[in-house]
Order: sequence, then structure tokens, then C-alpha cells
Amino acid sequence: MVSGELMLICSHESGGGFQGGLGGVGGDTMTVMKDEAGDMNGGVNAVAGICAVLIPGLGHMVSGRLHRGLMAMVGVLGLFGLGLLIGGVDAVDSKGGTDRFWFIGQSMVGPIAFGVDYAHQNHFKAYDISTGVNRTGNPGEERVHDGSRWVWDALPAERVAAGETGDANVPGLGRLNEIAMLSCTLAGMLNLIIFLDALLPTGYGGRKDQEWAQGGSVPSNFIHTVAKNTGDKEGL
Amino acid sequence: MSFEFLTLAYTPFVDALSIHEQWYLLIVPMVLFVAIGYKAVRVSDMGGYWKNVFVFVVQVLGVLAVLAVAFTIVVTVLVPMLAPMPG
Repeated sequence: MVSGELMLICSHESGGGFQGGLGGVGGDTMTVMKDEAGDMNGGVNAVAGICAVLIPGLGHMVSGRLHRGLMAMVGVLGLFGLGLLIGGVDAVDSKGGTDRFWFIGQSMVGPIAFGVDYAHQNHFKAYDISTGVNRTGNPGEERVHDGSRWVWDALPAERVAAGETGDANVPGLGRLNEIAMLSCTLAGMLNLIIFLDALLPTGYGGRKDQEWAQGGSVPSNFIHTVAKNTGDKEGL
Repeated sequence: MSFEFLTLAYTPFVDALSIHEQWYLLIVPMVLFVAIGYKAVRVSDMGGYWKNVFVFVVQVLGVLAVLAVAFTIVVTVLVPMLAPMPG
């Protein structure tokens, strides 16, 4: 496996790892970078970082780590969706009393969190005419536009009699509300880790990577990948 | 006019769930999603990914269960023993 040996020599000369590049396309070295095992040490992958900010897990996907990116996406969006499922849209509120402190963590999910918050502020809240506060509605209220802004108005009696409940969403209360906000915030904090991993790929082997860099045994999955990329059937 | 008798229709992801008695069960999906996301950027070999996720979930839930039992003993046995309430 001549090509494979050449690759290993290159890896040791570069300090036991590979420099992260932009996207990782073309060439055997760049193809090896795309190994799912993630043997990438050092460097800044700006494209992956930008993609990771836009959608959780996308940064790993564009740098060739499809499985990792997909699972990262499932984890982050699953947590965020779980929070919304538990506490409703009320769980994400950048302008709601102490809820706005939770939003600092939730915002790390990226544009999705800001989109949910935008929808919450603009499609589920309205102004209370008597207090001037932009708030969530109460049962029996409807959102009406008074020409300049959305306001809460009492539902007409005949519509209440007909069984209508108005436009108010059901906000989370007590412990469930806390769990919902916590779940969305955990999603943001988890996405911060995933973003940093996409931006600054450092490998995942821990002690194995260190042993390899110091001349230890080469991970079998690396040999397999090199052999696959160079067409070396013996290595497979 | 009172609207206390009104029950709002449930819309997923918009309205909050009403599972106030089963809140503690929500730790299971939460830990599962944390494990899925965290292990995606932690394991060295994706071949053992789901095994790592399973171990992570079992470890977290196991420790939480032990803590729950321990605190239950403290609150229901030790505290009344150390500081008995009159009556």
C-alpha cells in the first residue's frame, strides 16, 4: 500500500494530524480529512463554522462528517422541539420577564430560535389596551389590529356561546414551563459545543490520537479509509 | 363575564402540555437527546456510537435515580429523626 504509507508519513510530518481546510474537497489528503472518525487536528474550518451557525449539525455535514452532523442535528433540534412540545411557543420568549435570560442560552440554537421567538412576539402576543403591555392572551380574547398594532379584545359573547375560545395560546406554567425553557436552553448550549467542534476540528480519539502522534499504533479505521480512497485492496 | 369554563384547544408546539403529574418522566427524552447530540461530537469511532449513547443515558438516569432515592431517605427518614416536629 504505497499510497497509504505516503499518507501516513505526511500525517506524522504535520504533527500527528491534519490541517482543517475549507470544505475538504478533492485529493487524497482532503478525502482522508472527511473520515467519519474525525482525525483532524488544528486549523479553522470557517465554512463549517458558518454553516454550523445557520443550522445545527450542518457544519459537520459540509466538512464530510455526515453521520456526526446528522446526529448532532437530531440532538439539538430534538431538545429544542421537546421544549416547544412541553411548554409551547411560550418557552422561547426574548421579551418575557425573566424568560429573556433563558433566551440567551436558547439563542445559541441559531436562526431557528430567533425565528420561533419572532413568531411568538408577532403572531401570538398583542398589546393590552389598558396597560400597554405586549403580552400573551387570556382565554376569551382575540387578536385584533387597531390600525397601528395588534391588541387583545374580548371575544364577542355570541362567539363564546358558540364554543370559541379565542386566539390565546396556552402558556406553560410552573415546573413544566421551567423544564420546557431548560430543554430549549440545553439545545443552545449543546449547539455551542457542536459549533466549536465544526469550527475547530480537533479529532475525537483523545489518548488514542496522542499515542498515534507519538508513534503508536495507527487506528484501523484510518488505514481502512486511506486504503479505500487510494484503491488499495489489501488495506481493505 | 367569566371565561374560567373555557378550555383552549391543544395545538402541538404552540400550546403547553398539561402533564403536571408526570413531569419527572420528561428527563428521559431530554437525556436521550443530549446523549445523541453530545456523543455525535465526542466518540472516536462512530461504529460504537449508539452503544455510547445508551451507556450515557443509563449512567445519567441511574445517577439521578440514586440521588432521588437518597434525597427521599433524607427528607422522609433522616430529617424527621433529627428534628422531629411536634404533633
